Amino acid sequence: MNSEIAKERISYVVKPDSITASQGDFLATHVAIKRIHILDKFVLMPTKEKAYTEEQIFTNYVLNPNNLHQFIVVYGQSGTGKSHLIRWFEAKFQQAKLENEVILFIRRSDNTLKGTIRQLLEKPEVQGISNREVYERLVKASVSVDENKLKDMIYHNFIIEIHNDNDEHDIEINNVKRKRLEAFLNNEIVHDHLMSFDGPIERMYSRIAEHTLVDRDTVAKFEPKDFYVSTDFFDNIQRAGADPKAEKMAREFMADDTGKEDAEKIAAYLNQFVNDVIQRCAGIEPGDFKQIFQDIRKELYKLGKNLTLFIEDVTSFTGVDTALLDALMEEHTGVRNGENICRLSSVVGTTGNYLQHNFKDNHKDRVTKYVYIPSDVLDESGLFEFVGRYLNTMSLPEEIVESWVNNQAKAEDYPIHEAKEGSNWETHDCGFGKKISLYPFTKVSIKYLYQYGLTNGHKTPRYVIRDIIEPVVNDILYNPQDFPSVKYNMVNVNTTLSFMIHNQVKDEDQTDRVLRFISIWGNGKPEKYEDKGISYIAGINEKIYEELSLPILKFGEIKPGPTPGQGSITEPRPTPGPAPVQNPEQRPVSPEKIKRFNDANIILTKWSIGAAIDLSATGGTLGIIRAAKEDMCNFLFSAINWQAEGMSMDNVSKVKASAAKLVIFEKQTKGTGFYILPATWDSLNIVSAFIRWREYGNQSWDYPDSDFDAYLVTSWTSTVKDEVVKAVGEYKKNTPVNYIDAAVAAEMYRLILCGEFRERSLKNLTADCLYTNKPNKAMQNSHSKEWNSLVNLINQKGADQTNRDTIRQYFNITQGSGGTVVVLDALGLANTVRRVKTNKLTIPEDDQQADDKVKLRRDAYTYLQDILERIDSVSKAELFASKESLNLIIDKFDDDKIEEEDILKLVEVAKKFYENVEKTQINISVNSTDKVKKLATQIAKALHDISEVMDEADPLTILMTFSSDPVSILQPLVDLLVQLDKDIETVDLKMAKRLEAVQDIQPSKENQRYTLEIEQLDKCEQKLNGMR
Amino acid sequence: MFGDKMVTPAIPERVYALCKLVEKGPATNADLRARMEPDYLENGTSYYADYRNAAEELGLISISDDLISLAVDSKTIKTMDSMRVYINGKLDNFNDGQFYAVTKALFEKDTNILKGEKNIANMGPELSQLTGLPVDAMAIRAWRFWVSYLGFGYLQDMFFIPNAKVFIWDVICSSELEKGKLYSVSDFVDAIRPACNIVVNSITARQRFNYGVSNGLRALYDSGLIKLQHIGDQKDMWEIYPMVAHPFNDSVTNITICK
Repeated sequence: MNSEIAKERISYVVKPDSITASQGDFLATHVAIKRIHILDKFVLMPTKEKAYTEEQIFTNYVLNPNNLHQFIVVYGQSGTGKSHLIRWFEAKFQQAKLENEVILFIRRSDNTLKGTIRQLLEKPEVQGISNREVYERLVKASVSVDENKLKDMIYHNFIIEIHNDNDEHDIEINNVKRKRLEAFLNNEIVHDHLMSFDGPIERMYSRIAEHTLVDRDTVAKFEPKDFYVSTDFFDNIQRAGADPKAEKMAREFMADDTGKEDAEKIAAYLNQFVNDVIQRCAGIEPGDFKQIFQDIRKELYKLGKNLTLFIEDVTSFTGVDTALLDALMEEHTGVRNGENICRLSSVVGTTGNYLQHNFKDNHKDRVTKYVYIPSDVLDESGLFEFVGRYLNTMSLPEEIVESWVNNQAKAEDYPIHEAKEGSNWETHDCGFGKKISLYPFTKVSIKYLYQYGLTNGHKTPRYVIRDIIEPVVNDILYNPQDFPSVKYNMVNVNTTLSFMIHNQVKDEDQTDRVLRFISIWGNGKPEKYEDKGISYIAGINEKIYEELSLPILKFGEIKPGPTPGQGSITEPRPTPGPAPVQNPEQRPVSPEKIKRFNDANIILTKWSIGAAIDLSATGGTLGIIRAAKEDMCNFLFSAINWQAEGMSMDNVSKVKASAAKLVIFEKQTKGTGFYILPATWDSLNIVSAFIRWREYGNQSWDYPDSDFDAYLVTSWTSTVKDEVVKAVGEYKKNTPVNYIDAAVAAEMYRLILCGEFRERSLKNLTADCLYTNKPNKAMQNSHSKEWNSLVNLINQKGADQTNRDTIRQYFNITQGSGGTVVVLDALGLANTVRRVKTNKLTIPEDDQQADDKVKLRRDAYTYLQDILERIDSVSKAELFASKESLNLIIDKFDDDKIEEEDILKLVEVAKKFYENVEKTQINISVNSTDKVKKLATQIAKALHDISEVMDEADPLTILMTFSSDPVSILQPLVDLLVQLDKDIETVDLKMAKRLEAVQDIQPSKENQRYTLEIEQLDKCEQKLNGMR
Repeated sequence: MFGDKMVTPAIPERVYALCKLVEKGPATNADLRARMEPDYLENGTSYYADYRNAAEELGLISISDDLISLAVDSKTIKTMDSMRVYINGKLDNFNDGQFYAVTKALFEKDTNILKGEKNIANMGPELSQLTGLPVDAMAIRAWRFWVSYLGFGYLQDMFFIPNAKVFIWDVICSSELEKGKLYSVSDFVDAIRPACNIVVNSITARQRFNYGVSNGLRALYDSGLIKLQHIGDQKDMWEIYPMVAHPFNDSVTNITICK
């Protein structure tokens, strides 16, 4: 390369649209095409046809040896080189043509309708045609309309067409739908959508406007996808205040079942108006174009000339295509009306897609020959030559190229530039002993970039120029210190190579650079050899590394292999992985497994250089990577000595059961995790090792070169261990998990609420209370409804047991996967119990971790939260409930400080009362006071405890007071007092009755017989009075 | 445990927990047992004696008149890591024991260990043959806890992958090797003997690091803790397990401690 010349010439030579290059550059970069197919009938992508060279096509068809009317269509995918071939045909034809042959080459240079007509009128042979002034006026009335205005014109002309549609077209829609469509198109949001850069209006505009960036092979039509309405799009339409009709139309397009069908129909319906709309906006009337052609042919006939027409791109005639095709296909012989016209031989370029959809069947039938250029038109040698010729041409001064062209552009005279750079680089032999330097490419890099740098459908000359030659040459010309800096898609990177580079080169930019260079420019293997005194690293001359200031790597020496660059361009890159070590005993890995690994490696390579990765799928290649990620998690769970790292196995098992994964990939689109595996080459190596473990070794390390993988994996584990342990032990960055505090606090509350711990101080609430299972067996209690509801809640669905298990396992120093025997981390347990008690069974607000990503850890908080949320109301309810009993007792005793003696005194009085009742034979059951007497001490204490917390605000103190259910203890006293009240009342009543019965009885002479009784009653009365 | 037969309950973490309980002062067996395996746990079985014996065997504690005291400086049991460094320095005292013999035998298997039995507990017969000691499944299960803790390698479920990075670094730290000084590989090996004999062949005629030790050396090199060198004119050379991807593919002549 001569970079000085190349810097000036690159923009002239490297043009994706070859037709715009100068004739010299065009011929100097031309590479003969050898894989062209000839067909009689149109087939979109023929595969089994015989291949012809461009020379054969030219001689047999383009040259028109029998001087017949013909219409040859050259088609292929966008960028395959149709224009290039047509231009080459034209150039060749110019040299071989007969004298009476007029050649008209209609270029796509400005790619406009009017430009095309202008090109026709510029030909000297048609200067005398009739109506010339009219046509010129038509062309000169240039569209000086602003771009946006012109696009709007196109857009609104469609609305006008719909509005005035009188059902004369093939595809009709009913009146209702038409009105809806009109309203839909009138919507502001829809307008903006269809006018967007990749929308249909832009495509149509490109057919009228002078300059546009739209792909020249784009068909100016509506596509069904233009009318696909997503939920977001619909929301936007609604928000913008859509007309109801527009909204209905949008809903129809959005429908799951019929939406796509409707979109297809509406696109087809609107496409019927495309020609009329384009013509109107371009200022051309239908029929103009046909008329121009007829006039040209008439004129030529008069002059005794024949016309050979080369149309680079028929798609540029959108808007007049039917008229144009009619004109081109009209034969000069046979029965026809009107004046004579000249013989016409047309060679027309178009895309397969345009041909399929825009050529009507009668047009297709009238095509003489179809010339198909396949996408992979260049073979390996052709590809090298193609790249080489461009590289050579841009390093040649323009005058040398011109001089060669002026001297008939003979292959044997083809000029080769004087290389100022790249003397150590590969060359390509282009015949006649001429060698073109491929600098800054190697043959391997050309193949690699063709294979992996171009997407499917873009493996055509145009994209080789645009996406390979131009960026790489610019990179070396303007950025040699970072070459290669273009981040091409790297696939199947050899993990050993990556490992070795990262081991030897510490500067990350240099690492990336040299890895890219070796993987794309070299053979991708960490090897070195010497051949004929030249040292090669990864198949590239060591001097090239020095030239590019790339680090010289130390790789293992091998014997020289075959010359790099041989093989098919579609041949996949060799399997990456550790360099093979000969081991005849090792069972080989099947090609299917290697392919699966390679596919995964392609995705991982993209991930490691910045692409996001979605590992939600369980199948396919992503499923393989997902499985490797799971294997990584399992490996780390098993390989790390969690307890030795100070981590409770309870936490580890909770993390293991969590939806959040131990390892998550950086840029992973879904899922959460603990340790984020950075998107680096090192990580790629590790994931690759796990894939091989699963795929090659069937989940074992028994496969070729597993020793390296086992080293990688264990070495990596030792490196990331601390980070992984930290991530598992932390709730958030630098905040250790503390769910055990929540679990212990909750269990302490449970012990209190269930009456298993009945003390009014936490002092004696020790570790053993947490482990001793002593359930409260009381069947009944006097707690409030709220208290009992809370107790039910905390025992629901085994939540209490789960929480107890958490505590039991958290402080258990387990061996292996556990076991029934618990060996306590006594210090840890004691510290936690102390801390929780100091915090009065709560977690300080700043330390709460209720949104922990691990559900089982979060459960401890949820459990505690369920309690804490309720204890305030429970404690109040408990106080309220106890107040009734307490007040009753205080009222009866008429004292708020009731001691044990007071209770015993009451017992005595009550006892005496019942004795007297018995003596007076009043019929009431005698109530025992024994229970109250027996419980006097506890009752007095309960009364004291309850009285003490009546004005207490701290729920925990209240709960602890009521944990022993003191209201139940008071109950016998309450019962006694209530019963006494009742019994006294009964006695009073009965006494009153008895008195009443004896009040009027006086002794008399007639009633002498009652004297004794009266005396007896008097005595009784006296006794009773004595009792009062 | 180390001197004789290995038992599963005597895991390193329990030994460490026991030592921490006597860090502040001696305690009786009954007290310690009551703290680590209190009756209220209703275990039914006690493991206490197993881990207490292991701690005593390693010289971490001493027992006198039923009173257990810490036998080492409290710095030794400051962390599990510091205890590990201490134990790794003591292993050669137990070179007749099962742990030593099994570790040595498995390291000498080189990469064959990667291709054999997936469950090490099933390797009893083979290890009995290799070590000349009766090795049963229970003993291997016990071995695995210590071998991973002491940094000889990693356990993938019940599969052992040797990588003695941690162990080698521990013995380097316990040795008198000076930081920054270029040692010949033999001087280096001599400096870490006899502690390293468990995995580094003691027959100097065969100057070769096995796969697990090579992994350890390479990992130390990769993490920048040591520098491995191959200096061309040096005759003192040790083979390192061949690994084409690593700069030290087949031999090392010099080693420098970097950190």
